Amino acid sequence: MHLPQLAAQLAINLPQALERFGHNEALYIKYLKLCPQETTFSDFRRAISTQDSVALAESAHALKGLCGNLGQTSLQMPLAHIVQLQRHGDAQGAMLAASALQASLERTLNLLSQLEN
Amino acid sequence: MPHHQPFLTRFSLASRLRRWRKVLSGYGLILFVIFLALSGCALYLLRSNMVNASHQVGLQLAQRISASTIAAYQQEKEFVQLLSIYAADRLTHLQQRALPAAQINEQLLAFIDSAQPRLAAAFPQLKLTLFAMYAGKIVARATPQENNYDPTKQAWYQQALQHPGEAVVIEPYRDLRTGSMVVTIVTAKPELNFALGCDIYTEFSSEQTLSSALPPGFNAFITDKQGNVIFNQSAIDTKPLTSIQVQAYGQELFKAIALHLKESSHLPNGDTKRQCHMFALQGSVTLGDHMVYYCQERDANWLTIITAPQEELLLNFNHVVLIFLALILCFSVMEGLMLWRSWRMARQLETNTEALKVLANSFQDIVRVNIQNGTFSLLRSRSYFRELLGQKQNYADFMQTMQRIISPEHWPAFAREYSLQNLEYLATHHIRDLGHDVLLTENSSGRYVWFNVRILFDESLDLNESIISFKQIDSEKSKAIEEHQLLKDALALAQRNEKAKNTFFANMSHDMRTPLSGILGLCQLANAQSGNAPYLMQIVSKINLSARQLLLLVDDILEVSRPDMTESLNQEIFNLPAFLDNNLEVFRLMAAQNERTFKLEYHLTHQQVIGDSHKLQQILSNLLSNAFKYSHAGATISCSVQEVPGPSKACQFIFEVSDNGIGMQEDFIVKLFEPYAREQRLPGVGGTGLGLSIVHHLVSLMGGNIQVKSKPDVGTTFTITLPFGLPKSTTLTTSAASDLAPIQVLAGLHILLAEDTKLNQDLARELLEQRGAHVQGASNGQEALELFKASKPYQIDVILLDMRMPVMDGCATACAIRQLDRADATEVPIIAITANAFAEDIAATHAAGMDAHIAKPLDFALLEKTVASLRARHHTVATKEGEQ
Repeated sequence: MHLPQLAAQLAINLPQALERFGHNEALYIKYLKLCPQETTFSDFRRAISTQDSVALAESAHALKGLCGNLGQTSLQMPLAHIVQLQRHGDAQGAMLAASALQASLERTLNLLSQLEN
Repeated sequence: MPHHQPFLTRFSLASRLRRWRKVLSGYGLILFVIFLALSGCALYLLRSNMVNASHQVGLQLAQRISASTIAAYQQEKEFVQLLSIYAADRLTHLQQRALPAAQINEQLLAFIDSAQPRLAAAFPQLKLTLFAMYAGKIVARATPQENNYDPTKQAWYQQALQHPGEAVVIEPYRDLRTGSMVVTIVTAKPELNFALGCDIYTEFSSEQTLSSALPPGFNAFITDKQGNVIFNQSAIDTKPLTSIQVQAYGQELFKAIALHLKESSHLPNGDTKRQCHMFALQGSVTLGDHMVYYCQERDANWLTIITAPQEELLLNFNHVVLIFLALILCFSVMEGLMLWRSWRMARQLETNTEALKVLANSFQDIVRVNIQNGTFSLLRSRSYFRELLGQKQNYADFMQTMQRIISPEHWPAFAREYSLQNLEYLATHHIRDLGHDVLLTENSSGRYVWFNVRILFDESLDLNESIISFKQIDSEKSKAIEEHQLLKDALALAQRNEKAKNTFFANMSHDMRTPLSGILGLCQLANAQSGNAPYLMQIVSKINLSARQLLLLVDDILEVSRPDMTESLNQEIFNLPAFLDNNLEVFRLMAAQNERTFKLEYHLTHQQVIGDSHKLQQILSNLLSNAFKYSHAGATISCSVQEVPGPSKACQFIFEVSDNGIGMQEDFIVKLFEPYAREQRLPGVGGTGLGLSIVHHLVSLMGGNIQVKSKPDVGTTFTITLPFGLPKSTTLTTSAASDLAPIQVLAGLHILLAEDTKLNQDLARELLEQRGAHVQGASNGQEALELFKASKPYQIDVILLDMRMPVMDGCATACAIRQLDRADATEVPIIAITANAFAEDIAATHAAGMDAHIAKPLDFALLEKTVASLRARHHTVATKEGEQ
């Protein structure tokens, strides 16, 4: 799968994302492909499985920034919502939102793993 | 515990009775069935025995009657034989005298006449007639003879001749004249041509012949070998049978007996002289169903028969069965009633048990305590509780376990109230329900949870027992405690407010009196100096000032006294720089008038913003007014505004109002924003004490954050972060302080980057290095701090800190760096790079000493601009210091 297809699948604003990378497509693809290896994703999964709201807050916050840096706004917004719920003391709501997001997260990682240079 | 004994004994007896009733009613049906079965067997055995007994009676009766008849006939034989000897003697004497036959017959007749009474006297129960036979003629009184009757040719004589000289019982015959059966006993003396005989008329002798010991309903017959009834005692329903009936029945019996003899010839019978048998005769025409008992004497020509109606045999048994059935019926009815009652009670019990189950399930643990024995048992418990108690049964062990799980502050009361002594006291005094709330651990996590523990006692419990129940009430209790605390806090707040209000009114009356007094005084002066115009102008100016002061006081009071202070925001587009310049100009004038210095600076990217400018003006006016009020002449009051970039539609703005005035004590800062709060009163300084309360409310309303730093005699800094929206097309302003082209800003800079997410760190490093920067990376704040410490002063040009990091977060790292004792510690630009762009986060970074806040995703263009701005600011400050 090539970058434009991936961008279409993941609703990435490609021009905006490339602008952040100085229009260096190769660099952008490099970091997109490194994404699935990032341990923060597994931290997020583990936090959901163990119902650890503290770990969830940490990993959601980290993922929010990561996804924002890589232009993955479709994940960034829900992650921001999870962080906001946590800040407002709604741990249960945050956990539910995280569980609901998990499928999208896995889909994203799956598509990223199919990205070609 | 002797004084408790009667109370306990009464209950123990009642409970034992109750238990037995339960047991009996439970097994009652089974016992009843067993009783019926045993009764049935007993009845069967009774019936069998009765039938056997009846049969024995019948057989023995037949035997007895037969034997007695034989005996009676033997006696008669002997008597007749004796009489015949006497008669033979007389006849021999008469023959020796050669008397004529007629005379001999007369003599014989006279002998018969004399012997008849003796015979009758000897056998009063019989109807007997003596007769003799001499020389071929019958000699008797009442026996008319036919002319051609030759007794020597008769069967009776022939039979007697077979045993000459012996009395012989001749087979019965029917007397043609009387129709009754006659039994003749004859002794023949053929040598004398003589025989003496006795006719026994059976019909008239039956009752005497047959024993009177015949049971009711039994019939007795003696028949000859042809079945002719000789003797009988028979009746149907107590009415004697007629002779025709007797004979008919006799024949019937005889045939039946003959048939039975034929069939039972193989049956053993121990008595060879006498054969006794029995059989059931069904459907007799005469007498119905009967049992027939008969005896056949080998040496006699008759058959002794006893019949007994089958219904008579079991008459008593039937009575017994009737009585028994009546009893069974009574028992059955009683049993039925008991079963119905048991069923009703069981249904009631089931309903109650279900209800009790529901109730019991609402308790986590239920413990039954035997006060007398000092033991306990668990009726219901959590697995954690059960594991703790194990197999223990001693109540002392139970209390030891409780001590481990109950919170220390509740244990002393629990130990006292749930001791065996207290349980006993409560039971003795009929205190049925007593309990308290305690904190105890719910599970192995050790977290204390509220439980309601109750002691329950009731007379239905046995043997000096109580129930202790545990019910988890944590949420209700916590809520109650919270509500109680809220009420306490509300009360305390109301009391404080009341006190503050009283203080406020006390101060207010003074504060309002001051300008009013001033106004009145000045008016009097004006009156006195009405001709002095310049002086009058001064007075008017002062009156104006006092009036303004008064107006401000009244405005504050009105603002606070509105029912719930305005909650709505007026969102309008306004030019922020112009707003600041226009609305804060008055403070520049005030500063000039009051020997103070006022500074205003702003670093804004956007000019047009969307927000409530009026409330912003209230906030800044209040803060700046206070800054002026609480500072002395020569003080510097500054107001700065900085924009923090955010999402395209909104921005955060940091407003900082600072002074180097009198400052505040730390303990006052805590209640700084409470209504009417005023720490100290400078001479001539008025105010309601409501200003900061209003500011705090307005900042909260606008979704912002306010923080304060202050030190006595050093000064005060208020930092307010407020979000404002951005119109679709906004005019960007550039900071006048930026001298360098953005694209080259980062080239050659040494940047310390702290970011715990590896991918983010690598990405930021690569992009920064692409722009010519030299980057040192750290995975947490502690690492960043160590790297900074290890660097030479001014070696690091910019520090980029992520806010949330392990070990040491961004704010703590910034604080630590700022506190280092080195020249660049307070000067090096520190920029927060974080995904959190909330007002309180921005305020926190600012409070930690960071210079800027850039939200993720990282906008490198903005980063470059921010770095350029910060470095330019530093350059400007350094230049000025250098110039100084």
